[in-house]
Amino acid sequence: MELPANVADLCALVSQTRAAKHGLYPVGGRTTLDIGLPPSKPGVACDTTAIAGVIDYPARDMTITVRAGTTVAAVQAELAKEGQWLPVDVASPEKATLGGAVAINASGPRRLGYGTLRDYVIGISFVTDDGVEVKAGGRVVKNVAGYDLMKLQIGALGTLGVVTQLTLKVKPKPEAAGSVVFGCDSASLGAVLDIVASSKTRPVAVELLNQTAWRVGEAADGRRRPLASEQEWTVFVGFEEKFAAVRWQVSTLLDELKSAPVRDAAEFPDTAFCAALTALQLRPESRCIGKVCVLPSKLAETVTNLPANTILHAHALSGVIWSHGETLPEGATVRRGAGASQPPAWELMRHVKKTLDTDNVFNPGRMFAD
Amino acid sequence: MNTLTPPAPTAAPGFSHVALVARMKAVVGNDNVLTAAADMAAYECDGFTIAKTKPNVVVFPTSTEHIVGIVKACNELGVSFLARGAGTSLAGGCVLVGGGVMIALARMKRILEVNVRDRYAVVEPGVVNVWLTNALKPHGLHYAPDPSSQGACTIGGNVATNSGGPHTLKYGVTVNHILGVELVLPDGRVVICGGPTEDTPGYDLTGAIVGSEGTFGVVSKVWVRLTKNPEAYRTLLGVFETIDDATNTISDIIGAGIVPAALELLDKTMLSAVEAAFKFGFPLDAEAVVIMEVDGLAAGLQEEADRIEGIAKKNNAREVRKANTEAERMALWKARKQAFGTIGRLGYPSYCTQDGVVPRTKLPEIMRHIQATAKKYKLGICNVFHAGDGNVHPILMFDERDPLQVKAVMDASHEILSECINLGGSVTGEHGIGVEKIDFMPLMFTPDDLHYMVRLRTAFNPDSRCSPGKMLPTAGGCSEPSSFVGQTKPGRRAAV
Repeated sequence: MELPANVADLCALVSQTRAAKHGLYPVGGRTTLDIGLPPSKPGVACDTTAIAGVIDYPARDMTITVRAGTTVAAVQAELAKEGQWLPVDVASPEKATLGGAVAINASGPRRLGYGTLRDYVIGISFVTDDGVEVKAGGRVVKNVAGYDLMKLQIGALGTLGVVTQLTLKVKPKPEAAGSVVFGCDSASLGAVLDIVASSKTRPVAVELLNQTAWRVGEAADGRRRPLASEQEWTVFVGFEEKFAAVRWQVSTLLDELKSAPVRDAAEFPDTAFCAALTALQLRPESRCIGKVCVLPSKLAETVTNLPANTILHAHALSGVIWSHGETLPEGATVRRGAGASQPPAWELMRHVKKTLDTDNVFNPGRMFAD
Repeated sequence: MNTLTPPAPTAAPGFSHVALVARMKAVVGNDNVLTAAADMAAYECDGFTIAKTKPNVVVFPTSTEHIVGIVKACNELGVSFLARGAGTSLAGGCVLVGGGVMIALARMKRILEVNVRDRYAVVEPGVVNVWLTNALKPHGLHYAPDPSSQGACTIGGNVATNSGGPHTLKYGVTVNHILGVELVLPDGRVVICGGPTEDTPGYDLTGAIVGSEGTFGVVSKVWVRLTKNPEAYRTLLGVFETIDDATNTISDIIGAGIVPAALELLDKTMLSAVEAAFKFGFPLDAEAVVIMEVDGLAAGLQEEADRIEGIAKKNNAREVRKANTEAERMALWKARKQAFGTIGRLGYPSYCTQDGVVPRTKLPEIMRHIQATAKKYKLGICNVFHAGDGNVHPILMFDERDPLQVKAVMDASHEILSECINLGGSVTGEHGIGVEKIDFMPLMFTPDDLHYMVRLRTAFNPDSRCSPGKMLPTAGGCSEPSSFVGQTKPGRRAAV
């Protein structure tokens, strides 16, 4: 394990690794090492956590520039001083680095209301296979000079270089939060989700959990919610807004649900459950964790056809399903475990990788198995 | 370094014009090809009128298969090609450098699917931006990116330049609303990147294609995200005695943790032109007005509007007016979005619109710099811009028959954009690099940065036959100036 102290050392390490025809395996907070396929060639792990710290935080511009080895919690703590935040859920934020979150395109329940990292990363620097640091984007919120290399790195599993610095667009923290939780059965799940999708309210999160997931999630959250755990499905709807807007949304949704086939609708004065639901994505006891993406309108049908003994939780209005079981469900993209579906542009992506990392230095095997 | 830089694009000397036209007619039919010089005049340039190149032929495909046929024929004949939407680019993005085949997408204008429950639509690239939003009205949805040219510009063109607009402050730019694209690669293969389901595995090629100024291929289909209409709006007009008071208000609103839907500034000169055209009732003696709009749920919105009014008053706003009806609101936005069309009333034969970005807290500095630069070069200047994003659009007015004035505009533009870079910003927020700003790229990026961008382009467009001579300096980062067009006259005309 190498621990470069600064970008210059990292550049040298990349050049040496390439010359030795080895692979370089960047490591941040070690929270998602099991994501992706196994490495395909010998090489060195590169701990990026020494390249950390806030570089510039002009709060009134609502942007922040940090070194990529900074933990997500440290970034959020800095932003909180000015009443701001990065509204992207990242599991294990105390350990996870921002660079790592970018590499795996981390997201959670709040993606419905706030989008994902591709909506927040406005500038990037990374070390290329030539052992040089390059940049794209900038520090202003609107900028179309040059190619958008930020997008290319987000979700690339570290296969296109080692990210060293990131500039983020950030948001003011919402004034208030609240949530509504209710249960329903499989037969009415589709109708219930349709009602939530057409609600007059604008939730930031709509999470769906099967019975097993609810028990696990609730235990992780550490707070008992007074709900019968006999529900086949539990739906969590979170609101974050101005105080008056949260109050209005909670009561409006409860009204809309009065004639719906749901049970035990209850309200809670926060959205703290989002953290437990995010953590569930990396549940250590789960042997295989698969992510299945479908059209939101097909989500109910998809989840009710998955084996009931698996832990199932979903970002219901985004069409993103997490499944924990002994095997991966059909069509899953890799999180943990082997096998994955490949999108139509897979060959083009492979070609992009070959063009930008000619000798396959960065995380070889992790995405393309070669 | 730079070993991957593709050769400078050329229409291969040996190609036969007759053979090219015959091939194009075979692919798209006689009615979808223009060859007469007079017919092709409109395709020589876009809103950046100094760079002009006549295409060899203009073709109008009506399907992805047509585009594939055109691209394959261009490869066989060794001819460059470029896709074009409505030609509203202000940076020469639609100029076919070195000649070749202009692929005009205006006849691919169908909205193929609107899915209300899953909040997406599938459109062909030639669909005009506002058509989509009009089609969505019955569903209570809209397509969020709203460039001021939205009545003319196409979704395909928006994808190429990653267009912005007044409401990007809250809703983001084009890329934040594009879920996927079908792309005809420069070798004629068709790939689908992304799509209506989220988190497609692998690289976010869609995100890289948006804003690539047509240099990665021809986008033949687009999946866009649809946004629920806000339940309510509050639209205010702050009237200020000084530009500083106006820009300080903008900075304080953002600093107070409010994210308005739009914050648009118009200065005194601009107001006089807009008022002459629209008779909106703008105060003609004010130095600046700021359109301040918040939207969202009705609950709590009035309190937010009241806070904004308080901030404006604290910054010496002479008055804060309110749009009390939807009709008043629409009239105000019409005045804003069509501001560029009114510049002719100021009595200058020509104007040049610039597009720079600074961190929003630096707005007072850049506005002072713009005023000082105009004074230094004795140029008429007016301003209408997306203040909340720090995206300035100084409009330099001049008489293009006077070479001294022309040179002054070129020099003043250069000074203003250089100051944007000095203040930590960018030389383009939404118009693109095109051919106009290629020479600025080495000021913003290192040779290593540019070399990497050339490598990425090579992955899609190895011989640079598609949209040649755009965005990146041809040497991939060296300091030689772009050679094909001597910039002797600044561009003009456009909506921003």
